[in-house]
Amino acid sequence: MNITTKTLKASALAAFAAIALVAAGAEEAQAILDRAAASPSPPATEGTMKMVLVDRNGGTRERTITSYSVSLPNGDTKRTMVFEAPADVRGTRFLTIAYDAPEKDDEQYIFIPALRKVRSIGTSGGDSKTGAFLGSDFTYADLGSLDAPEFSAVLLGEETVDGTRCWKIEQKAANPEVVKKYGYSRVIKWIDSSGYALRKAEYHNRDGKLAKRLAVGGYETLAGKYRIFTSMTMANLESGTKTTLEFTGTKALDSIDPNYFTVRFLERGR
Amino acid sequence: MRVAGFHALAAAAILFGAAAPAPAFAEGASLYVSPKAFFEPSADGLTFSGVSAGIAADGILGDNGYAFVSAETDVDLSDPALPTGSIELKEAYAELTVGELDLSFGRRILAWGLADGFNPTDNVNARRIGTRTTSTLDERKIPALMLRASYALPGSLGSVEALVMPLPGTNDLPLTVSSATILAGPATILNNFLAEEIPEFSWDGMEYGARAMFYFGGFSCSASWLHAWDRYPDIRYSTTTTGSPPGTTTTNEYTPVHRRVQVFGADAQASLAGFDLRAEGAFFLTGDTDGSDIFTKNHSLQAVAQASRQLFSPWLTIGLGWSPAWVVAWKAPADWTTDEDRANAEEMRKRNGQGYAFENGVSLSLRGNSSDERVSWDAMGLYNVAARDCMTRASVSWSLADGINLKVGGSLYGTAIPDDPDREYGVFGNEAADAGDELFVELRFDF
Repeated sequence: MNITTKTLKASALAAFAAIALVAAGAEEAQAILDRAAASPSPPATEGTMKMVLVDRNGGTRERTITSYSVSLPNGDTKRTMVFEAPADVRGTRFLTIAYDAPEKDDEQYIFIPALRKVRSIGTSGGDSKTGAFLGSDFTYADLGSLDAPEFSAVLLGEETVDGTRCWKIEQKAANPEVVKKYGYSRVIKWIDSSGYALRKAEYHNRDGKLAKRLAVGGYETLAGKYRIFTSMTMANLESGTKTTLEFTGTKALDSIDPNYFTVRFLERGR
Repeated sequence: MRVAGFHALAAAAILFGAAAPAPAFAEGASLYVSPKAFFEPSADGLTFSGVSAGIAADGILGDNGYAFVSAETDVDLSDPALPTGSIELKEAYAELTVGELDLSFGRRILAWGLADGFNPTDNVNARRIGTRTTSTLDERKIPALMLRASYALPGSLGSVEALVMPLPGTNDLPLTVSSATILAGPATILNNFLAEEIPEFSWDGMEYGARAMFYFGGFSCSASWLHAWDRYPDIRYSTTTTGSPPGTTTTNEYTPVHRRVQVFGADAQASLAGFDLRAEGAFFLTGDTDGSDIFTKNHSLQAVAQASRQLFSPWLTIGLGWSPAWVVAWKAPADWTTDEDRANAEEMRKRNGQGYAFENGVSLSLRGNSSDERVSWDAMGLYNVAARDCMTRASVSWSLADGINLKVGGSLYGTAIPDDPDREYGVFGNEAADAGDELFVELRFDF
């Protein structure tokens, strides 16, 4: 009886310690993610994005996109993408307005030359997060952030990625609805412990199986103060395909013509 | 080769004349070539339809100007011994921007309406109906010479536009000249369907339109008005009787003519809980105010309401639609007083798209694409409840390589009941609609 009481006490202590450690780890992990998200970014950018889609046989297709973005003081961001190549999608233009307020749905508009009109695209409910971004291996969720309280973060430890010391953080979906919304049950991220930059990520699907692997590279400093990456490759381990986004000629701008982020620009392309 | 009409060349001359004073540089240029084959499933074999090709270029003119020009050729090779074709200056316009105001002049194609596929408000451009084979309905549009002013509302709130089209626009329809002789005892009746009369330019025959478009995030809407020539003809009827009874000869002449209409349109689109909801309606105000003229179309309301949702991203999006149509003061042929009126009303009922006082259309659409967007598919079925006729369109596109696309598809028109006479009152499969089943294979190279 005495032994049992001791064992119970010890177990409770161990459990408490474990919970405390996990809580501390969670707090630290979230702090790292918040710090990474708060890294200074330019108020506006202009640049070219090359999207290289690689099929399972190694065949490649390329798309060239001119991209404009602006971050507003209230936390909202706007991005316009203009397809330059290949010829059959040239002139397709895409505008996303992402609101910082979580209760406000993002706005997306697309202009397809053959239709000659702008269509607004629903971003609430449905598959708005899990849909493929422009036919690539990236989903819209991959290009956004996985925030608390929908995802809880835990620091798993430290590892080295390509010679850089990184924190290894696990983000776990809070409930089945979140899994359905984002398409992932958990995501493991490797964050550069010196620069707070994402180096690598692994995405586990709804069944918990490793489905995609992201590699981020080519970090450089823009305008002397903004740390940006110049390439990211998402490998889809289930389909055997992968997509690389290469960013070239990115310019950090103090301001940008707001007309780039209007339906009028989508319609006219100027 | 037939070269496009005078107004196309005039527009080009004005365009390039306007462009001449300012140094222009090419902003972009594109070229496509598209060999295609259309064939009827019931025919003996494949009929190679021909090749179409297009070229487009645009440029900046000075600080605030812009110009766009495109040309298209369509070569009909269905009879290899007698190839025919046309070269058409398609769109050609110059645009001047003053602040939020864009002023343009030239030949343009516009797209009004937020619904998918069926847009009752989209009447700015006339269309080629049964005179050119195209793989999409939008390619049937005929550019219209217009002066257009568009004012952009602040941010992405939308725009207000107004346009004037000096030249009449009417659908390009197949020639339907025919003659029939009916022997009624000793009397003879001649029914002559004559060639369509196309309206000519006149100051009071110019067309006008305006539209306001608003975007409110997940909700957008527009309202429009168009005062124009009816794109489809009405009939001018005359009858003469010669000879003495009982051996009289009555000659009835039916001449397709165009009359003025006003079209008041409204539409809306909303995204709600993963559903894409679209609605569009147009009220056509014709010259027949009380429905007393057999040969002029009555006022009518055409509308469509659609709901679609992506079920399996990105492979399948399913859409359901309802398309009601209401003809104001519609009168059944039997309700007319004389035999002659009853016969004419019956004939018009088959030809003017107003076969019923109310008609309900229901539609189902399926579309999607592969994850890598190499292959996309689209299918739509439309069924008219009263006329019991239907239309199905389906196509599959395959991106063989960047800039090279293969598209296979077709249109089928039918009826729920074989030889159903009510089908003649529908708008898809009746004999006067010039709509025949067709399949197509199209290869398109974009450069």
